[in-house]
Amino acid sequence: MSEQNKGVYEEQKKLVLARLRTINPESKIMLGTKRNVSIKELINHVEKGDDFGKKVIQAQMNMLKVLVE
Amino acid sequence: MVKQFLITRPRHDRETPYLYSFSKAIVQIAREDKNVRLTELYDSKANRTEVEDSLLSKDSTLAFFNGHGDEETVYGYNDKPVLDKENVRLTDKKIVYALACGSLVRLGGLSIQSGAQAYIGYRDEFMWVGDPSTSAVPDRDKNAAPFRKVCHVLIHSLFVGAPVGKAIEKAKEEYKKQIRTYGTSEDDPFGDAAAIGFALSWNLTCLDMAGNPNSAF
Repeated sequence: MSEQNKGVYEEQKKLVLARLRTINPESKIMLGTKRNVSIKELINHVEKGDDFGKKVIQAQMNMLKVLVE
Repeated sequence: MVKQFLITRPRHDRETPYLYSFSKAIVQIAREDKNVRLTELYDSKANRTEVEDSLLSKDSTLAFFNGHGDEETVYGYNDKPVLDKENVRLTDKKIVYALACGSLVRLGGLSIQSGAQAYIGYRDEFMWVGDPSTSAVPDRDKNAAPFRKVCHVLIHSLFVGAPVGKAIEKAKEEYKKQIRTYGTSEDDPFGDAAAIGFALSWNLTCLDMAGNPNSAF
């Protein structure tokens, strides 16, 4: 990841974390793979920067795009 | 020419009753359509043998799989595989829509290589939000309503003969509409609205297709 991309990623991460922290942390999302994930767990994944966390950032950024369209 | 609408509707754990519920409306529509032969494989009938028998039909077929999934497999009743690399050749000339996790990643491509016209599915997990207090009754779960709506928009568009690419566009527009409704927690700080918005945007990101976008049922 280039320095510029890294900077963009870190900004997006901050933005997504700020948004996720406004949601009820106990809200649970059901996944077709037989597991639930709470908002609190989504935040942990984003903070860790694992693969799932990166996908969460992408989905949240897509949501923001839809909201400003 | 007779057309076949094949649908699998397993219902055996906490998640599959939601998918079963989401497809109730299209099954009712298909039952009343005299031009379509409905093959409804529900509960234990959603098994590999029944699926293969139905896919052997030479009729123009729209196959709608509901159940768990992964990159290489769609599952039926009791999570037994109903479609995988061993029998995906049976999707030849058919339009397939898998409301299941991840199967577009590999199984979708294999299906197209086997001659399917189009394979619609998700590139990752399919998500929704259920209300824990009503989780035993998916039909009455208000949190699940926007997911039910989008799923119905897509399968209904396919069922009435819209080109696959257009049907996906319509579903994505419905996802966006629902995201605008649920995408902010400002009016619902302690509720599930923003979580619903997140799950909708996740699904919007992951819904896609392989094959010919101009193909139609």
